[in-house]
Amino acid sequence: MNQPFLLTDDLLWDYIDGFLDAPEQLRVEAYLSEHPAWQAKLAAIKAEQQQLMAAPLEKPDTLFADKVLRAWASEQVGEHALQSAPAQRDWIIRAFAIVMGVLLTAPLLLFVMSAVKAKPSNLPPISIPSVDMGPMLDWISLPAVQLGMVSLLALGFLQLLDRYLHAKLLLRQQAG
Amino acid sequence: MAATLSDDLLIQQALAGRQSAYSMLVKRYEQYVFTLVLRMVKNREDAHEVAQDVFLKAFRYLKDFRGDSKFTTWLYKIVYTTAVNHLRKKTPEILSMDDGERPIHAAQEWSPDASSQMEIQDQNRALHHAIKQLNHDDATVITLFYLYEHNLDEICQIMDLSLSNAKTKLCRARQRLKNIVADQYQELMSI
Repeated sequence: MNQPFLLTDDLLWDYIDGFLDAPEQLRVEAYLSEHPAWQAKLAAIKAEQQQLMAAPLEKPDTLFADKVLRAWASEQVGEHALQSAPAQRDWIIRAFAIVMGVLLTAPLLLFVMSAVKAKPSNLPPISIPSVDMGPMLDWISLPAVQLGMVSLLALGFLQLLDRYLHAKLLLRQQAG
Repeated sequence: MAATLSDDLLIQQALAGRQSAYSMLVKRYEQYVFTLVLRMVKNREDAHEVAQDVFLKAFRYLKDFRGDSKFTTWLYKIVYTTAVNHLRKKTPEILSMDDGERPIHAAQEWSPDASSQMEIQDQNRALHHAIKQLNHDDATVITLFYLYEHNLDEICQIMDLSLSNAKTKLCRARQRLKNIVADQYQELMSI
């Protein structure tokens, strides 16, 4: 035996919103045609739906689009900097490393060589061409040279710090 | 002329580096994005910030948009997730508010049979204030379905819901909106 069809508000909304399948739609329409009170309800719900659909859009501030585009442009500039900066900075850091390497290893090498030369040995003497290293070692121990080395170290540290902070800032901008 | 360019074409041009295409996309969708964001975050200042964030994210990930869905579906998904994240950071308790548990009063229909422009404006204002009182999910589902005319499948994609869940959410949101209107704006709405 068929259950009597009973229309509800929710079913009427589903009918208006198009959620019902064809047989259900037909049942609702048949019910509506026999019940004028529900027809009035249908009209009210349709009006309600129209009102929801016709609500005006909110307008952002007039400069909103400009602000978005400026922010986008600056983000692109930042990305470009991120892509091009490492190559430039790597060059600086490599040059710094080479200079530091030469400055640090040359005196060390000279020191080792002079120590070997000075050490008494039972082995028969090997003829090593004698090089006068005194002036070189004196040059390394000059305060001006040492100051230069410290400055180079400081410069290298600042370069690394700058690179780290720059990358961090860009990552934060991208994440945000 | 610019208004006739399709979204797909604008996206292609934007990806090719044409700045005017980005500009057209912003101008085309700023009101839609802003309205949806405002209805979620309820505050114009925050809405500007979140809406800007939405566009920047959309541009950043534009190359990942494959056209499997409509551009607006993809864009509104960004709107939804960005606004939810914003709300989560700002007011975590808002997100813990469960569906459904507000009292439901006997509903009365409102009639929009307005006879003058001023009455329509008043009704729109009342509707705006009523939507403002909905939670962000209710406001989103109502806006997407009725104002932006997205179907349930698209709403599921945007809000990451199952079909039945989306339908239930829509019904409840509608019911809550009707209750707010009946309680607070009855004089304005039923004319």
